[in-house]
Amino acid sequence: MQTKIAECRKTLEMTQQDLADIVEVTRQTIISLEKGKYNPSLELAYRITKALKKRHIEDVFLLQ
Amino acid sequence: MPVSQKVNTGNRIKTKYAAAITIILIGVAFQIFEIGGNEFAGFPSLGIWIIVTGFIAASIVSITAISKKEKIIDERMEHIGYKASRVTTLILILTLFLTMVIDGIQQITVRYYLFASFLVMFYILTYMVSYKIIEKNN
Repeated sequence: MQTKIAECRKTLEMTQQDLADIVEVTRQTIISLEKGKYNPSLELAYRITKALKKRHIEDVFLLQ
Repeated sequence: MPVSQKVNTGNRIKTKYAAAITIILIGVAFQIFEIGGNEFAGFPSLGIWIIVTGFIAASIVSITAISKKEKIIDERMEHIGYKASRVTTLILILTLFLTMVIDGIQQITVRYYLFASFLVMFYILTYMVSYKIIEKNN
């Protein structure tokens, strides 16, 4: 799965740790998500979308 | 299932301390009622060994409580842990099978407590190594 987490995060001037704290996961998980190594659960995907101020999951996560 | 959970919270620490104290009390009871009075695993008696084990457990809990105030375990870590457990169990089964085969070729005589402690150490080490390897790929 491809993600736009890093892109959206930088737009909001948010660090990986900031995002990790908001969605209550570790920074390593955010790193893995940004690299596309880990597929999040639906709940985590929703939380990240909300934290990045996007309306739809598809705005952040792209199924290849 | 929540995306994460906080560990090393007050209640968890208290539960771990309670478990360590219970182990110590069991050891004291063994000493008082003279159960397993003979030398055990390099200790004068089974009771002393259980008491020492309890104190080691209490020390580990204290170190954890001081060093890490709150730790988050998220869904990715649970996912890796689940995979590592599966790999470890498979390796353990294969190792035990291999041990049985070797025992069939040449009889292995080892005291049960040594076998049990080796087994626990092997499980922990295999789990740690497989966790690290899986973590790198996830």
